[in-house]
Amino acid sequence: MGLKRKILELHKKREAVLKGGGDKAIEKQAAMGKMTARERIISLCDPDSFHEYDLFVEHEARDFDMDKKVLHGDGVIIGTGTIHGAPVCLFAQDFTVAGGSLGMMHARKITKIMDHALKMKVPLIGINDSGGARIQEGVNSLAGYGEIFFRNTLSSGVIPQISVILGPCAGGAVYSPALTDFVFVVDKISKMFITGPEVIKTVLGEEISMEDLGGARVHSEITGNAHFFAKSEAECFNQIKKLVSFIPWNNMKKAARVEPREPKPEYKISDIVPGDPRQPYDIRDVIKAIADDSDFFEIQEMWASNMVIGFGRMNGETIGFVANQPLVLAGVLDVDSSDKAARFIRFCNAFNIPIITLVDLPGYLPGIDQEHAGVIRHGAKVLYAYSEATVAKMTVILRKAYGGGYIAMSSRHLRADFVFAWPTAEIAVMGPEGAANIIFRKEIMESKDPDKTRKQKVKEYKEKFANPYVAAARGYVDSVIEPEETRKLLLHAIEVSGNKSVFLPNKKHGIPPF
Amino acid sequence: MKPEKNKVYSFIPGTILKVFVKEGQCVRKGEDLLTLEAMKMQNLIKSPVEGIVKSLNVKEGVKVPKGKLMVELGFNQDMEDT
Repeated sequence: MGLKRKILELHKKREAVLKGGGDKAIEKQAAMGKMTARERIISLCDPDSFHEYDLFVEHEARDFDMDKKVLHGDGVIIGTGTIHGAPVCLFAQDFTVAGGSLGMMHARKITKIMDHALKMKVPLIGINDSGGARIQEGVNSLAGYGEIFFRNTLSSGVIPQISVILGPCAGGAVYSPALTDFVFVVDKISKMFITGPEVIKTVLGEEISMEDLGGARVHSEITGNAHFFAKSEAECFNQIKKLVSFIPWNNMKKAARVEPREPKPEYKISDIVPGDPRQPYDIRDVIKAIADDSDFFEIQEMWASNMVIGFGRMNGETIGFVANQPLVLAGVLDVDSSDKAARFIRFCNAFNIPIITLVDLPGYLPGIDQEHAGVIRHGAKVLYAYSEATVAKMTVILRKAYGGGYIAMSSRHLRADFVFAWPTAEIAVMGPEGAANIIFRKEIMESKDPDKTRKQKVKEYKEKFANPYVAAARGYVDSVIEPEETRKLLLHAIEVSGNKSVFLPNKKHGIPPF
Repeated sequence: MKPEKNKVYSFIPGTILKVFVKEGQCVRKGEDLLTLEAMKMQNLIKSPVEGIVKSLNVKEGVKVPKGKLMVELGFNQDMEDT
């Protein structure tokens, strides 16, 4: 046989495998409104950049007549490609092949590309679309999941890990995405749960649809398991590409710089924040007034919206923004918002991304629900994450910074590198109403007109303490600045902290309250 | 089991400062319903869905406890929960 014939033979072999589960299964996938695994990878990677590995892998199962079945690529595609020129390792489960079920060789392909990602120090992107464990392969399937989870954990904080849920992801399979840094979901396509509607009905008698139990909206609005919500797969891939442009390849690198741009003129910082501290506003407009090109890429937009997190750039460098949102629940800290902020701060710290914190919050949310939901240990995560972070930390206090909320939101005491406060800042142990009632309780009670006295005392307290100057007098605030100066001074702070180094006590790892 | 998105409860005790809607009025998703002053903030409460104000259970100036059903919205038959 000549070389030509051998090459022809290769082409033929490839052609068969590239069809995945065959035309019928591909039609079914399309009827569900889903792209095929291969189409997904091609849409996600730069043109002609994807190189596939292990195309000819076959399963070894012998029981239940499995030896008679051919499963192309064993139901998963793995390989390397580039996104905006950045190298990435990818896997995509192929639902057209045995429902993308995870058998031993399927798992081995995934762990092979995971090992590769960790060795090459490049981001890992996993596209999940699988019916779950391949039951015919028994405990080998479970072993496969375990090997994946182990590698997710090993890679955590070394390379960015991204999970994309484009179909079912149920049972044990959900724990790989849960261990990764960012989870992307698409409306009506993504479904994630530990136990599905049928089991829930059998065991508990409760009826619920897959969509209401673990659809894309549920995970974006209620559980907080998902970070990005898209209406279509195409939109989802654009979100992933944008995220990849903001993050570094690994924990030894900085994110790629882009050409710096001034914020757009329509975001005028002094017009956004009302002088009356009881008036809400959208903190995202302030971020847009500060960030390059007014470009803010928000994460977990629909969950715990009283806290805003996401990426932007300053002078072309990626920055993590953490900000209270006065528009939602007055911007209070609670169980979910603490959890959301803490995880993001840890991501930024692991991947050398400076953090800018914008503070305007009345404090922690009071209530029995919150206390019983464990706001003590969840709230502690924010303190832990900020204290442990050694990246440059810049804090701007816009208006309210009271009590525990003041301490938690990247205060000087948790080693913020720069603390700026606007003249409208109110930094105090508690709000004027509460404080006056406690400090002047006797005077108010014994007064002829308690209401009048209370109002008088509140006013006095407010004038004396609800300002930035008491904290500035102790050096807790470095500078009281005009709102218009915010971007200029933050750029200066980033420039100054370019070579920041901090020495921490030696330890195996800390024990954060999770 | 599904959370009832058409019911707007007070998230914390506070005072109703302003009411922007009347019973029977159509509202879009995100439209202002009322202002609830609580947590040192005049919180704008917006409509979580598109629909009709089925019942309005608060007035300007009243104090509300936590978890009070302030506004209930109804759907038109042809309206979809977006």
